[in-house]
Parts: sequence; structure tokens; C-alpha cells
Amino acid sequence: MAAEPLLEVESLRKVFPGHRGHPEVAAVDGVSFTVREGEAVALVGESGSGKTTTARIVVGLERQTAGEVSVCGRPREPAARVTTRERRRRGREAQIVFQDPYSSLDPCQKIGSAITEVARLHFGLDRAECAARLADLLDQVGLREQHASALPRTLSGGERQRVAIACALAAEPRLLILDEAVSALDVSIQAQILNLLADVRERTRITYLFVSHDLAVVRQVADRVLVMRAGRVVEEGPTQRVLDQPQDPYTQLLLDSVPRPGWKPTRAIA
Amino acid sequence: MSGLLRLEHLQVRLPIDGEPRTVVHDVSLDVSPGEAVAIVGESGSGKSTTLRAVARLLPPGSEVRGEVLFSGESVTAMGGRALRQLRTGGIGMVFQDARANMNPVRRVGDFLVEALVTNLGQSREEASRRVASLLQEVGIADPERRLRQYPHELSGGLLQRVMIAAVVAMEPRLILADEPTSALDVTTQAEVLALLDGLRRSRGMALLLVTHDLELAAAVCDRTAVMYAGSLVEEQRSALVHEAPLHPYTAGLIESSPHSAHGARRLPVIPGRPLSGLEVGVGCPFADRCAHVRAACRVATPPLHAVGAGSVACLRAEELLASGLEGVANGC
Repeated sequence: MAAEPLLEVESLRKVFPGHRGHPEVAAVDGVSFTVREGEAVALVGESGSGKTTTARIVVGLERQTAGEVSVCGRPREPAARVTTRERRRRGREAQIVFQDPYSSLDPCQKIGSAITEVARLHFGLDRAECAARLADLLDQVGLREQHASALPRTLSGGERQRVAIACALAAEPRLLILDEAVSALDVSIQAQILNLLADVRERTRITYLFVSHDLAVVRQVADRVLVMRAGRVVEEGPTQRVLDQPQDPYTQLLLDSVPRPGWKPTRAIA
Repeated sequence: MSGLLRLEHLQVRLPIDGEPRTVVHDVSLDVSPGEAVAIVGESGSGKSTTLRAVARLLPPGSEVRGEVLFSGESVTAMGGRALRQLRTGGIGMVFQDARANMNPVRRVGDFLVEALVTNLGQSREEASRRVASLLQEVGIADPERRLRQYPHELSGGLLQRVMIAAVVAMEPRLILADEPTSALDVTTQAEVLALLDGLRRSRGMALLLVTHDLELAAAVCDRTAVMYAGSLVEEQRSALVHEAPLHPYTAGLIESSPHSAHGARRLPVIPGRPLSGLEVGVGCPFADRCAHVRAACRVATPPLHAVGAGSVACLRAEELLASGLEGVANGC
């Protein structure tokens, strides 16, 4: 287990400015953690906990106010301008899959073109290589060849999410961030996508960073969990330990709130 | 026949691209006074359309066949005045997105008070007092301040509480709730459900809850009905659904939920994707995904029939129940 750290986050802080009389908000407030190569780590928390903001800073969609992020041993400075070459290099380090497969695909771009575009940009493949790579990626995510010529609107939510995963994998990232990637899916489809992610991990030794509010999903996919609340990490540890013997009262509250057979909803004492 | 709500072979056709198409095929369901019943299903199963048909909230051009009876009266035949009476006193509805169902340019207080003034004929002062005490009852501290605020100033959880207060204020006999907590955080969800459950019980209101979450349904409802592709496929006591599901689809849903898998590396999976009511052909709509399918399943749509204390629409239900309904979901 002495794998090298793939992602290092140190004292990360993100402050969103206030507007119209509202005070500024520290969405992420001193978060530090390390993800080792091949690990699957989950950031768990409710809305406003800062889990998504943390993930967006890691892939470079937000700039941190303070703190450091290194991916593959290279620090990602919060520079205002990053060269295209550098941005592409970063794209081969970390990719992200979003929650809503209905808004994350271009409605006018065929599936095959969306996937090969990524492969071509990053690896300069020729036509034949592109076709081979496309066939390989479609197969990896459980789509048929006919899907390549389809537009997103003809696909179901589960199929779209498979496409989004294929697009991310096309850049051959070492870190894949999944921001609530199965939350919008039906139960029977969710299980299929979770198994797909497990297959990909087994085959490629890819590293996962899950962002999720769903403790059952987290238990299924993550080795390690960080529980976040109001921008801070309140508890961290191996998934089984954290979910079976939570140390922090907030983790306990989260666990108690999950509906299950025999569960009765209770009103927390205000 | 003491049923409060009775659906008899409800069929709903919605206008899609100008053509009426069948979204709900066959739903028969009873809700007794004070009882909580859940309709569980995946997207496209027709669960929300069924609920909307009860309140006559379907889009123009929809066709409803079968019967919807509320305390013996046909909802489908109601005219304007009767319908207004039904919606203001008989049934109340809680939607998933409270924000989308409130006027954004009017204060929370106006929203609540206006309903009491117009529908119950109370004076403004009387209604304001009543509303403030209701807000306190739904767990909102400082109700006076909240009443002066606009919807955008309140969080989703608070707005859903306001929505529940608005519904409870009318003292309906039946609450229709369409995924009332799906957009909320788990801890807020637990509170809002506890609230809804408590208020409902103390006032003897019945509840018809639509959700995609079998666990949640089991937790707050006496009975659970499962819908698939526009038809009811199973209905029985919630306590039994997880232990002894009657339909292969229900069994598959339970098995493929990460809630039930402790430590397994792969989840059991129902192959394929859920069908919507629009895509249904001849035979059992679940046949193509079912591990127990036989030639007979594809010939005619299996009718809902009584098995044990519940009912199920599966030709092989008795046989499968005897042998234990397992291994429905398998590797993909």
C-alpha cells in the first residue's frame, strides 16, 4: 500500500465574495488530504459542505483563495492564465464526470465525435487510431458501436452517463473525479454504473475521487472517506470504520438519517 | 367500502407531440382514511402522472379512463366548483420543488394567509395568528420574521416546511406528496418526513406518497405499491416488501440497491433499463429484464391478482414465492 501520493491537498481555502449585503462565504475552509495512486476516496457531505468546490479546484474549474493542490507531484498554482499546452497536460492527469448527464453533453454533437475529439486533442491520433480507440472506449463503458452515431437526446440518462465516463477516460487520466455521478440515475441503472466503475478500476488502476452525499453508494465504491461539513473535514478514515463506528456526532447524524427498513424519521432536537 | 380514495383501472393518455399516448396503463389502488400508502417506481413508471390524475392536475388534452373516486365521488366527472372544493378541503398536494410552486414576488406570509382567507373565510388577523402557530408547529423558529420574507430568502428545507404548513392549514383528508424530500439533504429529509408523518397522524390525514426510494416508502407508509412502465406490479404491506417481495422487479430493485449490499465487490444488476409507459407492447412489461421469464409472459399482460396479503401482476408469482424470489438480478 506504499503507493505514491497522486493528489495532495494542503490547507485549501476558498472564499466566495458576498454580494448585496450578504457576507462572504468560506466554502472550503482549511481542507487537507492525500489520495494515493490506485485509491478510491470519497468526499461526503451535505449541500454547502464544500465537497464539490474542493473537487472543482482540483480539476481547475475554480481558483482557490489559499492553500495548495498538487496532482501527480506537480503543484497547480492558481494562476489566472494557463497555457493550452499546460491545460491539456493537466487534462491527462485529472478528469471529472458531473452529476447531470443531460447538461454535460453537447446536444448537437454525436457520441462518437464527442469521445474521439478528446482522444485526438490529447494524443494526436489519426483516423484509424481514433476509430480503434473509440471502439475500445465504447466497449469499456458498455455501449454498442451503433451508439457512436447517435445524438445525446436519443440516449437514456444511464447511457449518457456512460458516454460522459468514456469522454473522461479518453484522456487517459490518472485521477477521475466523480461529482455525484450516479445520484441522478434510477436505482437499477445506478447499480450498473457503479459496477462499470469497479470494472474500469480493476482494469486500469485508475484513482477515484468521489463526491457524494449518498452513504450507501460511498460504502460500495470507496476505500477511504472524508466527511465534510461547512467547509471543514470533520472525520476521516477507512470507509468501513467511519460508517460502522463513526467518531464524530455529525457522521452519526448522517448515518441515522438514511432511510432503511425499520427506520423511523425523527426530528433532531433543535 | 370505506375507502377514502379509490382508483379503478386508471388509464391516462397524455398529449405527446400532439398525439395522445398512454403513459399510465392500469392502476387500481385504495387508500383508507388515515392510511399512508406509497407509490414507488423509477423514472417513466407513471407514478407522478397517477398522483396528478387524483388531483386533476394533468395537462390540457389528457384523457383519463377508469375511475378516480374520492369518498365515493368521481373526481373525473367533477365540474369547476366541486373541483375547487376537492382541492381546498379534500386533498392537499406537496410537490418536490417547493420553490417552483410558490410565487417568487410575494411574501411567504401572503402565500399562507391568502389561502386561509379565500378558502376558509377567515379574517386576515385570525389567519395570520393561525399561520404563525402553524409555522412553529412545522419547526420554523421565529415565524414572524419568516412570514415577512420572500421564498428566495429561505432554504429548500424551510420552504418545504412552509409548503407542508400550507397544506396542513387546510385540514385536508388526503395529502398527495410527490417526491417531497428528494431535493433535500438527508438530515433535512429525515426532519421533513418526521414532520409530515407526525402532523398527518395527529390529524388523521391519509397520505399518498410518490417516491423512487423503497426504503423511504417502507419507513413512512403502511402499504407500498410498486409501479413499472405505467402499471401497478405489486402492492402489499410495507413491512413485508423487503422481506418477501412479490414481483421479480421489486426483488431486483432491492437486490441492486447499494443499501443491501454489504461489502460485495459488484452489485447484482437488473439488465437493461426501465421502460416508460409509452414503450410497452404486448405481454408483461418487465419480461425483457426478468430472469424468470417464460414464453407465457410475453403473450398477455399479467393481471394484478391477490397473493397472500398483497397483490401482484406476475404470472409466476405463487410459484416464485414458494421457491424464494432470489437471483433476479444478476451480473451485467
